[in-house]
Amino acid sequence: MSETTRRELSQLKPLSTIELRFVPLDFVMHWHRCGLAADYFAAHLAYTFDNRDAARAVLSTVVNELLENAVKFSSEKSRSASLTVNHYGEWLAIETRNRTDARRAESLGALMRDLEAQSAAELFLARIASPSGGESSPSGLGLLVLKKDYAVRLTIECEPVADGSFEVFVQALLHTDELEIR
Amino acid sequence: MSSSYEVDHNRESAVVRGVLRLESVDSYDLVFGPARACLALPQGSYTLDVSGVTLMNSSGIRALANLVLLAKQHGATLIILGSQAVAWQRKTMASLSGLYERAVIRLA
Repeated sequence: MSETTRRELSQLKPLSTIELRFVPLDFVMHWHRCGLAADYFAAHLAYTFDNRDAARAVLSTVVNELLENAVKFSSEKSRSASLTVNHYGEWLAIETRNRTDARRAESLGALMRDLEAQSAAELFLARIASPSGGESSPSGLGLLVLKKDYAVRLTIECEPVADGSFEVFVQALLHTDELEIR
Repeated sequence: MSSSYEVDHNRESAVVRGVLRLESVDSYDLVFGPARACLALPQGSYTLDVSGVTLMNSSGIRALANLVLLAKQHGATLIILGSQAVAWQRKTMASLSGLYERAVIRLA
């Protein structure tokens, strides 16, 4: 479903696009800005929904999680990264692109492999049952929450680049009908 | 809405309100430090009211789960009060109760 939908959407021109190009360092220095940016995107996107508050809460949560991850796991904090939301009418595609290191790329790959074998709910419980907490611990917990609790269709791609780092693309696909009832 | 919170706490309880999107799990020690101290005591009991926390990031979810695991480690009782009206509490926080039978999550 997710892959089919994503392929179909990739053939379409979005009705609208908003994009933030940023340097992760700006957010590392002032973490509060992640939430500010997420809240702006959420308020902008939720404005046309009947149940604006419900849509805004979900959108802010999803955007914030992707943005925090892109900031936290960018291997070069001064290299430009991006947050993009494409509006396709019934679907919203929230996407981040950033560079990361081999450890993070491997953990994202492992997360996607695990999601093929287990549900997000099972993986969430398994991962949360082990104490962890290193501040940059790439457990993928936030992405699991988005999938488990917010009906997000998740796509993650990591492409190696010449300097040994990886270009990461994360897409959270949300159906607009599901935004208003949450 | 981005990240602004307040905490009122005493030795055995705390009320947290606002938006919690701190940068790391460790940063949540500022919020949950008193709870950790209490739950590390044998047979400790702590009540945490987060019903007024409208948004929390995944580092906060991890920090909450760590509190539950700490309570389990020391045989303490942890009561977390939340709200059905708040999406992250209804959807995500509620599932933490499965980690430990003496972690009680009450959603009003």
